[in-house]
Amino acid sequence: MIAAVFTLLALAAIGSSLMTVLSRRIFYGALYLLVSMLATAGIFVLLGAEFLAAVQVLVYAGSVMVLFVFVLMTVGFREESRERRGPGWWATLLGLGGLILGQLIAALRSLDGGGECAGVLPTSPGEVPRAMADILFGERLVALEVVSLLILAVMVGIAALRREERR
Amino acid sequence: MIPLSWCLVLGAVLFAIGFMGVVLRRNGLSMLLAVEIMVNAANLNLVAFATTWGLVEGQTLVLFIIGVEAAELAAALAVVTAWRRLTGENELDAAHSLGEEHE
Repeated sequence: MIAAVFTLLALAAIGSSLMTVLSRRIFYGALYLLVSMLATAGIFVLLGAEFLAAVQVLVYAGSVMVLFVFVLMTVGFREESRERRGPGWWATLLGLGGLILGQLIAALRSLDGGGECAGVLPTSPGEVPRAMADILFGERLVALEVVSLLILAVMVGIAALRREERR
Repeated sequence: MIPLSWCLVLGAVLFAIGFMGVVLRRNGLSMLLAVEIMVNAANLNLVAFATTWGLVEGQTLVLFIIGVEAAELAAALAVVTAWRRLTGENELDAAHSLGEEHE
């Protein structure tokens, strides 16, 4: 049962990611990416990482995609011209993709066995988020603050960029 | 139960798709979308390993990645749109000088 749901979600993620890369209009690509993110969130739930699935939906499907679509609508990029995609383009796509994929799978084969990934963590409700909070606000507090500083720096940087542009 | 290798293969496939997108698309925003796919694949691998070995630290790392990645996307979107408005070009192949203009 779980395997069937996993296969379904994996196929949805792969298909929508392919469509993101292949679709000529960026807006459609963004919508397909949204489907891919939601499918990945479903896989997170299957793996027992419910909190991360919620964060994935909130941050990716919520804020990041809304930001992306907002920029797309205000700036308005043209769609890709048709003559770009000759046989050479497709050959490069398949060749490069096959090469990278083959390399990754070959690396995976050296990892023997592996094991089962779902259902190993303690599954009583709220236990994983509590453990994550202990780590975040305990031994990794400095890293958390560095990330918030990074976000602040990005905000200031964007403001500076716009100011530079206006001059 | 799901074997670990399934998750890893799925992550590899998603990463390859994202890599193809970054290499083959010329539009800045399309390349950003493809980068998102690659980061997503990395997150999937982290979660798979973390749940296999029962480590919560891996899931915490994914939280950090999501935060940094959102910041990166915001900055990249600002740069791509500013560059587009300054030059009127659609495709990042035309970007030769992102630094200061030299007279």
